[in-house]
Amino acid sequence: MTSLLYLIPASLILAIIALGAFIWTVRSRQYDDPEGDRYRILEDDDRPLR
Amino acid sequence: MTAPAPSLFLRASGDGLHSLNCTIEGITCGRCAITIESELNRLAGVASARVNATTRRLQVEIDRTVTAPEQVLAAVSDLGYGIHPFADDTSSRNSDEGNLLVPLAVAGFGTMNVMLFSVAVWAGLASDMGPDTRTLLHWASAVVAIPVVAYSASVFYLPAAKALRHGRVTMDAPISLAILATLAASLYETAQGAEHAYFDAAVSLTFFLLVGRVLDRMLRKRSSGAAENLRAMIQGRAFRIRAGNQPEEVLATELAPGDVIHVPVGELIPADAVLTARSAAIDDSAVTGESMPRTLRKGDPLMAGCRNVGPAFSAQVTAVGSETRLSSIADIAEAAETHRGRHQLLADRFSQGYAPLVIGSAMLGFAVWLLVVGASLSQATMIAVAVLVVTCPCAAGLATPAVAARAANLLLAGGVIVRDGGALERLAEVTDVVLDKTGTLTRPEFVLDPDVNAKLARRASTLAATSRHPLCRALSAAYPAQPLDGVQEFPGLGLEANGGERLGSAVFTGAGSAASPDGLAELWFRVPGGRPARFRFSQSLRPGLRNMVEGLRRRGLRPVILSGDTPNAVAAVACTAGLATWQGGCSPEDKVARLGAMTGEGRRVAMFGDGLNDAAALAGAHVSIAPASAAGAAQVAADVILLGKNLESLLDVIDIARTSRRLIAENLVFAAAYNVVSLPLALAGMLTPLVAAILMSSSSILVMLNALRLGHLRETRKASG
Repeated sequence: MTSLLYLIPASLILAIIALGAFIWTVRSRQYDDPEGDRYRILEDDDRPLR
Repeated sequence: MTAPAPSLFLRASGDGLHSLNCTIEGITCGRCAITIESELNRLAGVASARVNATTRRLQVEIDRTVTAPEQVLAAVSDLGYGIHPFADDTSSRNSDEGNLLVPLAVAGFGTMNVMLFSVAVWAGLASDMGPDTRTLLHWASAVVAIPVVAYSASVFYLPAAKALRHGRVTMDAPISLAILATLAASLYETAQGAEHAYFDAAVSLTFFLLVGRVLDRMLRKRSSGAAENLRAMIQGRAFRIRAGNQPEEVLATELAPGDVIHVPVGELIPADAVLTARSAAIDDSAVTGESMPRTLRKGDPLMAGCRNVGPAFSAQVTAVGSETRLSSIADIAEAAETHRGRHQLLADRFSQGYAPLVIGSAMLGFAVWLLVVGASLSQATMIAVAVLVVTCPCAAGLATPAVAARAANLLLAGGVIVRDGGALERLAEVTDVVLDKTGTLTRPEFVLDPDVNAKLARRASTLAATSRHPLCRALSAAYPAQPLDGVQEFPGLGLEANGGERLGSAVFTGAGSAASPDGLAELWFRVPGGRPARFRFSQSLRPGLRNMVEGLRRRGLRPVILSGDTPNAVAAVACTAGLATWQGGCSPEDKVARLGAMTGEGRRVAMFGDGLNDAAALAGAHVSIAPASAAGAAQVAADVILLGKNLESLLDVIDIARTSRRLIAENLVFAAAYNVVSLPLALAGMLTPLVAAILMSSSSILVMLNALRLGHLRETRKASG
């Protein structure tokens, strides 16, 4: 069961990376306009939010 | 449009750029947002343009030296959208403050990871896991759960603590108590090396409660954003004249009594004032509902919110802002609104009583198990926690917002804005519908009757094109012509060209008596030496009027027209609509009184109106509806706003409201039944906190699924009916 000693931290680190990615999407306001984004994705010359 | 100059709304945003915030009318989907953006990006000097299709707002960064803000507005309105700049005091709303997504994500992260450990423990208990490994996994759960709960559950325990300090118990209190007690008990169990810990229950409870909170918040944000957009439309401008100088443009709020103002053609009067020019023609349809302009003489009072349809004039301000008559109408509206707000407090009062009840029964369960039955401290704690968790009124709390959110989204897609969920509930209870005429059943503008001498009409139109009088505009809309030079306007009488042609009232053109024989709006035109010719005008009806009236009757509702316009004009519309009950010449106060009388008879009245004269009645009605073309004050007072031109959409709103009410009732019955069954089970010690959390969250999910049926039910009924 010693494998748990590094498997548990490993799983937590992976999950924290995913959480960090999600928090980044919230901070960069990617959930502010779900209505517009579903059309914007089809635009070729879409410019990202600054 | 009497909007202040757009440059007043510009804000410096660094790099020599200025940002301009606007609300946009007429966005129906994200496609519109893209169209506007790409059009603006084509303009030179536009650094970036972003349209938010959800909030219907535009933020554009421009280089003032290259592009004037007016060009931006012109570009958007050329595409056919309404655009109104507004002062951006609300940018803080976009910050992370109040954004529940991050706490939700953290709770979700915690739930999944703690579950991983818990499942391992459960599986291990059934097989051969040793106590050391089990304790290790419990500690691993604790390491994740403690920070997650401390952060995510602060959404509940911080407000709960704040309310407690003010001596109130909100529904956040039992929720916080349940989460924190579960966490504390689990820590204690883990430290003892016990078999069971309930970190999974603490974090998943936080997660599911946050899901409900986020849904509720999304609905509120959407509707409050719509209200803010409306307020942005009623920011006015004024032209102040100081010591013989040229008029200077200022915001209407900067005026003071005694100021002399200049009111150009077509502008709204920004404040209550006294006319200092010789005469003026005023369209006060927005305030009184009267569809024809009035002529005023020097010294006559002018009301803020009326429109100048004659030549430009000057006036002296007597009252501004909150002192104006317009604002006192808004005050009546507001007073009525607070009165009605009591309905909505019912839910809060329910939780005021319910929260102590929940905490009380949990404590009772704890005491009985510990002292009477003789269970261990940890066992008794777990039973108390199970009671707290299982009785969490999430299902009851979600019952209304889940359905209301679904209904609001369905309606928004159909061009209807609903301000709050309570409005739908009230709409479902309505028995009578009071309709305003001008601007509500009819379109605000006049239409020329087609049986005219086209040659004459074209000639008259060259005069008409110089005036803002509503009848002249209708004439020049039917026969577009270049405006003639040197046309003189006599307010209240008519227009005279250099050549001697006269367009105006019967008296002005020498056609005889002042009164129109058939009650229709009319203009007379006479060329020198010729006989006066008559043009008749009517107000065109909005599409779907007859169907709407029939549909209302089929649904058991009684429609009635109350209008400020002349009885003749009202009778004509009532006849076309197939309505026998109507009343003309109503003042705003009459409307409120009539509504009060109907309410006194125990009827629930829906008010459908658009003018400032309706604002008080709108606020006093059980539920109020306004078309999108309505005056700002009316829109602010209204619960429901119809964006489309077709009146039949009102029937859709009523249908959805009725279906919603049924679904809400189902949800509430289910939530109550759930609590009645689960509370005794929890008290009897038959539920662990985890099972309680699963029961609690599945009841919430069931309630949300039931809400989703709303769209489905509607489709099937449409198909069959």
